[in-house]
Amino acid sequence: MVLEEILKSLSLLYLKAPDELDERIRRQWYDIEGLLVSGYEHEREYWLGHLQSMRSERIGLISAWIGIMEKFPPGSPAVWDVPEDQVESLLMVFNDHRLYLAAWADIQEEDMHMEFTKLPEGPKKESLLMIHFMEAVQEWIIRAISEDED
Amino acid sequence: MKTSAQGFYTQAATAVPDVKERKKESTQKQPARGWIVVVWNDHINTMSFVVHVFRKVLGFNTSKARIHMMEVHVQGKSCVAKENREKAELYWEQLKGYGLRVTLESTD
Repeated sequence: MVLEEILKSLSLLYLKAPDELDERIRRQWYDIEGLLVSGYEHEREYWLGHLQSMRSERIGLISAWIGIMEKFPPGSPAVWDVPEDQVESLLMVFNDHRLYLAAWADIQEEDMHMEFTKLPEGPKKESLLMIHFMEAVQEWIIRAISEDED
Repeated sequence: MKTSAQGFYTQAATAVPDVKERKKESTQKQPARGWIVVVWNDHINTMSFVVHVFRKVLGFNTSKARIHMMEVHVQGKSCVAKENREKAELYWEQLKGYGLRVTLESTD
């Protein structure tokens, strides 16, 4: 199942310290230059650790979600009820995956607007497919919770 | 910022609860001064996602969230808050938690 594989992949990445990650991912997830230029150089390690702990704290929830998905009958549609208090974490996790793919595949702005059928086969096209798919999932979730708030 | 296929905007805004207390080692008491939280444009986060995040983290209503989102989209950045250091750091980490590009600037 696609979402299950995404969650498994992310939970492994969330365990890693920033300096253990591929540089592209580290720059995407753990960019703290916006703090450092404001005089926070002496707090670099604190803020890197803090951002990493924010992610690692999601691992328990991700494991619970994976456990739910593992019980879905293979090859059949399934319904995943996400409790309201987990929705924001889900959005963050999904967006992290989009950002990860964009960094890993070096997706540029023009790539995001390119007609999909004109893209050459390869990792970039596969990443864009997933980025756009996750975007659609995000949009659906945001719309669903917004309707609940109205 | 990426334009979603179905742009839509929400109504009510609810701010996220305060994050749990941070264990930060700081031996010096920081002088009170203004800090600006700036969100920057990128080509991955969608417009509706950014609006959602502004509503959740900053407590903006839909209209204000859209205005700031469009500033980010058109001008490349938007100043979304001006606070004391503690609050500005809280916004920075919460916005970063959603994957936005954020910086802090001192008003000094």
